[in-house]
Amino acid sequence: MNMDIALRPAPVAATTAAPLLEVEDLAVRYVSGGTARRVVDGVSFSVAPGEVLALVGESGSGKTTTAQAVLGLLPPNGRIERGAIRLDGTDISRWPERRLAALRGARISLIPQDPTTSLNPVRTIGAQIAEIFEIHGERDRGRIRARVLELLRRVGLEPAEMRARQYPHQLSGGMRQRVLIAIAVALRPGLIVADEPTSALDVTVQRRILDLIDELRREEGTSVLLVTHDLGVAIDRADRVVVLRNGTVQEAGPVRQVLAAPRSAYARQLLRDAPSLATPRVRPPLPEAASIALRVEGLTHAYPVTGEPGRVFRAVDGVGFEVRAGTTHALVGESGSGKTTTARCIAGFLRPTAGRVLVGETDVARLSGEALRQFRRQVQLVFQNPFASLDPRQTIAAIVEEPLRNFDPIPRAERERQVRSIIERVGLPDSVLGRPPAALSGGQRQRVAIARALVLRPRILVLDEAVSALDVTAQARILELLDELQRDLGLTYVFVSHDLAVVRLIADTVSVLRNGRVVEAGAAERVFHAPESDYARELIAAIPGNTQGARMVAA
Amino acid sequence: MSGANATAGFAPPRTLVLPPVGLLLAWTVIALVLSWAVVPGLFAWHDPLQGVAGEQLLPPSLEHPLGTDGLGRDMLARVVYGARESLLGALLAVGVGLTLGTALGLLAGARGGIADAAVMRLVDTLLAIPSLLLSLSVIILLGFGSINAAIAVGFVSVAHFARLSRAEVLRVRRTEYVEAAFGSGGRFLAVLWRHVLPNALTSVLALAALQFGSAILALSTLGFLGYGAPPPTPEWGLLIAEGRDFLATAWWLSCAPGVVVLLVVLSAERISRSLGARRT
Repeated sequence: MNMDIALRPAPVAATTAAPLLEVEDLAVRYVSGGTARRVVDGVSFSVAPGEVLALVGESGSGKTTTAQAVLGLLPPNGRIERGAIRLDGTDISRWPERRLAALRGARISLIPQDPTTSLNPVRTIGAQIAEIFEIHGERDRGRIRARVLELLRRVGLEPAEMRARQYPHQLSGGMRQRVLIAIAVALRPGLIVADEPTSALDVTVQRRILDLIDELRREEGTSVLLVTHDLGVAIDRADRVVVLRNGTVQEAGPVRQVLAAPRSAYARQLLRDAPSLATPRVRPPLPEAASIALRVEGLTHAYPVTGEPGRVFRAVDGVGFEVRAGTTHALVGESGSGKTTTARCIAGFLRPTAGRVLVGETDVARLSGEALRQFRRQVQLVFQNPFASLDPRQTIAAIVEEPLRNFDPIPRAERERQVRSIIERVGLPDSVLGRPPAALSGGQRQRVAIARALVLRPRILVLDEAVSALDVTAQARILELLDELQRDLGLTYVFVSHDLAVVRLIADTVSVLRNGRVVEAGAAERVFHAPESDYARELIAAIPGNTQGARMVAA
Repeated sequence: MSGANATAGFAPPRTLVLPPVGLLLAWTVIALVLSWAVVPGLFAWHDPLQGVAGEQLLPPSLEHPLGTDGLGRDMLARVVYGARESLLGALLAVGVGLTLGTALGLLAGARGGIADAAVMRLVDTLLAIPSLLLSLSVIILLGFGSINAAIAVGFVSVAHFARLSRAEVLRVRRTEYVEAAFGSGGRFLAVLWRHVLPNALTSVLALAALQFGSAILALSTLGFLGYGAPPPTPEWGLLIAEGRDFLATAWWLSCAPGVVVLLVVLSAERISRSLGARRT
């Protein structure tokens, strides 16, 4: 494979240094249920000392499998078929587990994807960091403790003494990821494999975590193999990118080159799909004459705080906005900002403590029983996770048909006709009708969820992080579909998201939420280009790909 | 480089998946015992009720593979014909437990609140009483007989079914697809029937297979103690009890039905585990 040289003024002379990691013609196969499937096929790349290489691709592209192969952590049914993985010139791909174990942590380390499940819930943070020293032969307790505290300070977890005594559940997702980073850098490895290190985190936290990895890398001269589905992140953080699809390399080269002149059609498509890089489509000007489809006034939802009688926690605190018919209003904020609670109050899943949710003349907050059930025809909710919101035992046809069976009796043939037409409308082939959800991809499942929501012909669709669980490509297609459906059916959307880049592509108006309050509201373009609040500015700055890379191309 | 290996074929997988021998054996045992119950005439050629004078307490031979009992009745015939009595009893017992228990569990899990508290305290009470004592009390209330014994055994398992199905219903109720079903205008009972019950039932059915084995054991215990089927009936527990008097001279009379009960219970347990493992 053609080994490109970093064009970006890299601090390390990538031209002369021998590569730290060299992967050559790697092929990995999975065996399951008697059938073999090759998921990585002839992948080659190299990482120079101090360099950041990004492996980019959608789910199923083989990027995580490649990273696992480098670490020697393939699942039991995975096998390296051929190829070499050379670390400092030595091929480690055929090494036995014991030799690899000595290598991991010391020379190659991993920052795992999901900080919520990667720490042991019954051991303290300090004990878990100390473990890496113990595994690699350090016995002096005093020295271990000093190193643990130093590492905690290093990754910004202060006061270190207190953090060392805490348990994982006492830390936020971002803080847990910092702990995992501390463990990864503890023994000053030459190479860190970061497998989607921030995919489970909010954008602002994501930025701080990526900054931290960057900083540690610069100080120690560590190489990073960054696995991500987000081309924006790769462009921000990497020197070079390798774009994978179906286990083969589609494109490889310095970031600037791939960004400016992608050679493969697939890389061009990824560039178009990445929300942070895409140019927002020009939305038609707000129809001033359009009626108000939804008005939220002084919405408040409070929970009693457990253990402290009399105290309440206001998840949503006096939120108000209005949405004109046929437009999209976005609720943006980090986790805990109250955006999902607001969405659920609008869709009639939660009864607010105070305030009004007016759809036409109806106050949703006052509905219950049969009236609420009838109201569901007007407002439908699309859930975040299409893997959880579809009953695994139903067929797609049954899932989409179900809302029709809940209201006025319709003859079976007519129901079937409506199901077929809505399935076609959301861009799915007829053949999916008889299948269970498990046979569909994430993007296809979300289309089914949208079809189920639309089959009752609602006026308002509440989309709760409806594209957050999908990779960029599927995400872009769903956003296009939503846009098209809105134009054709005159739908009104309430779009909940933590990702401002996605919001910019679909919203007409935006409310930025923080701690249950609206901190900024207005037309999407205005909030984007001239944010008035510090918080909105911070959110915008945190969008990956919004920094150097994108500007470089624009220049 | 992407096309370089496009034509390379896949090598056959190295490891051959072994069929689960234990599971196959378990199904064989159950199938055999079931066919005993359906067509006992194929497996035994003597009358299970009519003894032959002068042929008492014969040791196993070609004519009488399991020997004869104190009244000269062929033991094989009694074990084979006993399958119907024991299996029907166990089916009835599991049926009672499954229906009542799942209904209670569904009610508790789906309704919550006072219904939940009341049902679960009832279940706790049932579990607090030793199961044999409980089934004996039920029999004394209902009267002796094989059907009443089966109902008594089933009643004892109601608590187990109720607990498990409540837990499963609670799990399924929290899923997003149930919430989505309410969101698309589903009525309470419709959602319960379409989504909660089918998704909660898998592990309940695994428990049913397990309880099938335990029910045979419990029925045999009751039969042994004389609370089950009346004497001339060939019932496995009763057979063991009758053989007890001759344990010193003709041990096979108690052992043969005992081994059959053991094999059936073990097989039911193995099948139950495989059903449980298939849960996604």
